[in-house]
Amino acid sequence: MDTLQYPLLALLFSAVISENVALYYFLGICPLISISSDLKASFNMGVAVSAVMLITTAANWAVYHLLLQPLALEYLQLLFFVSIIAATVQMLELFLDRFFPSMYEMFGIFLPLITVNCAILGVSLFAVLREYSLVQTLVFAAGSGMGWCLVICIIASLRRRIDFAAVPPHLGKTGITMLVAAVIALAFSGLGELMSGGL
Amino acid sequence: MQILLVILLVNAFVLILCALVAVSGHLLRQTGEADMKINQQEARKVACGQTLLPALAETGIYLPAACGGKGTCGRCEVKVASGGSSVTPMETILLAPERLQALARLACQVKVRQNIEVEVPAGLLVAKLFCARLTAARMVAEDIKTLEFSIEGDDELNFSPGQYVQVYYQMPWEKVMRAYSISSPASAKKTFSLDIQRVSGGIVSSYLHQLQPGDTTEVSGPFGDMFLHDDHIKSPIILVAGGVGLAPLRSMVEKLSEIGFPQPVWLFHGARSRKNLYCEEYFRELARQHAAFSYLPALSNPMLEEGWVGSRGMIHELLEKHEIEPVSAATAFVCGPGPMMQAVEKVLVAKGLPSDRILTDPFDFA
Repeated sequence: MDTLQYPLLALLFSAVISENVALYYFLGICPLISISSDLKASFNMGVAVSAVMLITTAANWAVYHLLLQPLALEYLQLLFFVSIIAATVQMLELFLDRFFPSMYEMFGIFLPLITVNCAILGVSLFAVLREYSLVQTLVFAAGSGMGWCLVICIIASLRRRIDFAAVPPHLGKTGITMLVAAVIALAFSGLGELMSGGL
Repeated sequence: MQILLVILLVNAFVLILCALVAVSGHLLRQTGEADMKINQQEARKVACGQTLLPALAETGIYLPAACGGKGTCGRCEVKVASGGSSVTPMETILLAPERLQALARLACQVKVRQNIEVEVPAGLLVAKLFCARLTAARMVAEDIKTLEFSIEGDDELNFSPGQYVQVYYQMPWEKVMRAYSISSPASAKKTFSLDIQRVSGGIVSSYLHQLQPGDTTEVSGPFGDMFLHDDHIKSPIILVAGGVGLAPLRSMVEKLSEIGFPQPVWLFHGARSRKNLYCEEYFRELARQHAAFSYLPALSNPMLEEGWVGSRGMIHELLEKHEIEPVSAATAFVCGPGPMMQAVEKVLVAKGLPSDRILTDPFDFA
């Protein structure tokens, strides 16, 4: 599906549903499994990841198009993108620690781990690779963040029910979570196909 | 020319990001002071924004934190009666729900943000901060150095064999600490020794390995629940060490040697190769002198060793094969990497030793 041919709404929809960063590209799976045991923490983590994703994708787009491309140094993109993501997460950590201490403590070690959330780097790289404009990049980043947040919240809601279900003992918590994610991926994919037919 | 441009560009970019983070840190970091009440005594002023672990250290209370305050060892448990921050994910892993309900918290995870009331168990109030001067250092095995320290001033280190100290190292941006078991006899109060294995990328172990005689370092202690008590001496003792986990058991052997091994003592020491096995000659000589002391080393990878006629394989396999009588009355002390300790515990329980008589001290946090 060539999203460049679609209006911004279609790009947003594909980023949230049909090409969901977690379920379609399997990015950011580690925090998806580890945090999704609690709905409130999942939502907060989803918001934090979305914020970092939006800020860093925009910053990475600017650095790529205004600095690296004019100097023909595109091959440095990974180094620059990772540095920007690390610095953004560090500043977000300081911001939450100061103004939202309870959220900061709820995330604990998982907050600095956003730095190595491959979904964030993946979205930045996709935006550059697909040659999106700044507006398209912002829509794509916002959609990807919303999509990741949506998936983690859905999984967290389902895991609350799974906790009381008779899950085969050898499947464990991670195994059943992966299966649940697979079923949601099928549903998202089906909905995407259904909608793309109409768009 | 382009290489120069790349170097300049990357450095300038990283510098700008670092400056941004530093400015954010300066503007956003919580400042000011809060009142901290410890064990219902008079409140003391401490700086806000830090965790309880350094805040308590400011008031002279040094808690055990074998993991260096990362919230993974769970040893700095205190009770926060009021003013504590929210429970972190690490605490929900290490502290049972009933303990959390009883207001138990890990001091390294609680941030001082407001006036706070803390209850520190009496057993944790004995540790002190010492200034230790290195008097001698020698390589005893590949990557393992035995460092001998003397304590400056009038202070004395009153520890039991098996206990450990925490060594501090001031980095430019933070002070880090690591736990190391004392390997010297407990009878010497003004001196102690540590067996330090250099860990790849390890900050404190690298720092300790490059220390020169005459250099000083900050040490707090003693800490640890795994130590040789007078009651243990009345029954047979099984000591099982993996690698540098021998350190606390060395101190125990020294104590038992001083009193002439009144009961049978077995020392099992597992190492990868002979290069990693240390104090071998000393223990062999001790075993020759004392019939009640048995020294049983095993090499897990002896292929490259010429002339090794001792046991091969993992230490728990040797323990399984070796006959220990009477095992049910014995006390076991186990120190080493986590998986090795689990395997040893399994073997000891299978041999008939009650699990409450197996005392362990993992060194995964070193």
